[in-house]
Amino acid sequence: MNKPIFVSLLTGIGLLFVQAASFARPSASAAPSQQPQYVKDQVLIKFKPGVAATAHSQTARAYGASTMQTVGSRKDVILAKLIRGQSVEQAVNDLSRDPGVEYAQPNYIYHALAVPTDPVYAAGQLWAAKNTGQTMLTGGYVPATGTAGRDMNLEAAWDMQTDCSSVVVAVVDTGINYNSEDLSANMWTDLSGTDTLHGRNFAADVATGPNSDPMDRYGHGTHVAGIIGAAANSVGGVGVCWSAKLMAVRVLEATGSGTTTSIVEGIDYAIANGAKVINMSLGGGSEDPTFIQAITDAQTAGVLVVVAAGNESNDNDVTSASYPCNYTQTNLICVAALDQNYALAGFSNWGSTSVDVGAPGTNIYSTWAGTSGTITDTFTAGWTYSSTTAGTGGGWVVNAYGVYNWLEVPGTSWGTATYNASTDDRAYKNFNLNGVDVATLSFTASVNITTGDWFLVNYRNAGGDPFVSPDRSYGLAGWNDGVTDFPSYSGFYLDGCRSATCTIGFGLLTNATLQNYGVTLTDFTISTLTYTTNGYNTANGTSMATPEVAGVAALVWAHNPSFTYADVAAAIRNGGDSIAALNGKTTTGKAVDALGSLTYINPPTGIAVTVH
Amino acid sequence: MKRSACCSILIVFSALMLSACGGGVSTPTPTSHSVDLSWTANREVEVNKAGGGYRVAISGQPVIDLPYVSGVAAPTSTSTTLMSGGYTVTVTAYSALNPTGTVSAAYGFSVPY
Repeated sequence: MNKPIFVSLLTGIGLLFVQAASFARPSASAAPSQQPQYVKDQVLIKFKPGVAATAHSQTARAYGASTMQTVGSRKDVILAKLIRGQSVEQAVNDLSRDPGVEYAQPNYIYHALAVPTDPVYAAGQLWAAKNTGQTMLTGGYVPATGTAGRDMNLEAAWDMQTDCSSVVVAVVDTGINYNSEDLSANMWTDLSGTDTLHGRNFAADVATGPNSDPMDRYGHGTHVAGIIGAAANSVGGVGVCWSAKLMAVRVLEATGSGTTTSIVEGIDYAIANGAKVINMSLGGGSEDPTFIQAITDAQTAGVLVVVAAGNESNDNDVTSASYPCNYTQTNLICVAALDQNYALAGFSNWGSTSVDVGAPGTNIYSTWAGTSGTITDTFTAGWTYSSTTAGTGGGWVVNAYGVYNWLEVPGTSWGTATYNASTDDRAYKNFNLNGVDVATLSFTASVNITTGDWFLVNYRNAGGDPFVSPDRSYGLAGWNDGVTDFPSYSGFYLDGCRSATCTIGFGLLTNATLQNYGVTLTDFTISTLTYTTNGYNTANGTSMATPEVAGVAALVWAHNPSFTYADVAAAIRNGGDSIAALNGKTTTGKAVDALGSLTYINPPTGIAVTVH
Repeated sequence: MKRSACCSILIVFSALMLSACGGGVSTPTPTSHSVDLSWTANREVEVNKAGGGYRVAISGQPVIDLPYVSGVAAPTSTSTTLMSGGYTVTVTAYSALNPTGTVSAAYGFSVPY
């Protein structure tokens, strides 16, 4: 079980490495049940031989009980319901003294001892399922020690339901590593045979269309999927659902971003392919009519949509809305994040009219798409520079400002000189990306170039100068507006450069007319992901709280197959635990409780009276 | 229809006149009626299995317990006998693990004289 675990904070705090070897082996002992030990208003009555069956009901009635049924093939044992409000203990005592009764007893409740044997659960590192006040070893969110009992009551819920495989849950996200050892058995299968990879891709960074690959190129979606439905299979952790049907609907690119188009297409796909629950751990700040319609379409189709409140520490009702959380359809449940003490997580958004419930969202351990890594560079070694012009304005230069190195052309302080006319300035370096499955380049830049000039980012898989026969070239054209651009260079996909000889280069190509301050860049980072089947991660975010609720929704729906989305939503909203931290900050003031949701009963309706 | 409406008005008017004169209208004698109650079945599995069921509470009357016995659902109807008057009824769905259950909105009805 020496699985490497990457600990990534989705709030951008940092990265840690932890070895799963620090986790203990699973305990053989079962946790004590939190359920009643017997049915509160029922007794079993065993009659003595020779007592006529016709006397059974009479005897029961004499002690304030009504016969419900005989027990199995035992015609002399009846299950009786106490109708006078007396205690089970009193009824058992009274009945036991009846001359016709051999014995009376409570109708005891037995449990399947449904405690998973997955080692991370046994080691107490899934506090959302069972909070003993343990200290979480990974994740980095403080406090890392919680309060016993502040959890989703999953152990008791698992005595009622662990199998969600009758409910398809669509993870509309960055995809899922469907080969994960903890997920592969719980992936959805397209019975039509169109999509053979457990879902479909709609994000623009790889091929879309039928049978496109929804493999996770980031990790987020795989983490979400594991929270919902990591298999109870004695490896890794375990999801809210032990068995599940997880549909991989990839709408976010390897950078974690998507568009209206990709998300809406993903929702439509989930609806069309039978998803009952859609998990969307994503959000943005713009109200989006097309997105709204997609959620309404899901409502029409009877699909429940569970979404994240957002991670900006905002009041969604006052400070700034977060969508889709702030949409108002009744099939939408928006989730805030709670810490291990059931305080609102420091990063979590809230909203007394927009956010419905809270759920565990800090230090959450789950599956990851593989081994994540980063390659950073400060331009201090290994770079090749060239320029077709000389002097102050020609060629890339590395300058240090404070603790940061900046790669710049011209090589003077930004804003004090202009680059050369008719120059071809290049800087490139070889990076070993051999064996990496996903590589994405990001950096921070300021660019001020004029019409006819180009800032280029090129790569070449075979090595050498990437401005000679590049495998890919990204270009930013200049414009005579005198404005400095700060382009968001977070998404240079290096898919065609995953070799040991990948050269990445920056170029400034200018014409003879008009020059400006040029280009300066820093924070050179290549993010890598190497797929494994045993990747795990501990993360923080409302992204993590959301699938906790989606999993409970699947449990409730699986337990009650004839439920509507409204029934499931009511069970989640009303079956939770009222907590102070959410009072006035959510519509319900409640933290989701799996047992509470499973045992919640909707008020009867449709009363009709006919008087004769 | 116009004629019928006119007759109704006249009858009411007549009754009011009698009342204003302070006599002549006797309190009607309550009579016993059979009453059928029904409601929509809850979809919770736990309500529709052993230990589950419904409690019907009619104002001023003993609670009627209708536990699940067999089949696919707990009973969703019952009959009782009530005297003339106004009543409210609530239905509580319950289960073995939620014996308190959840009560419906109150439904008001009258049993005629």
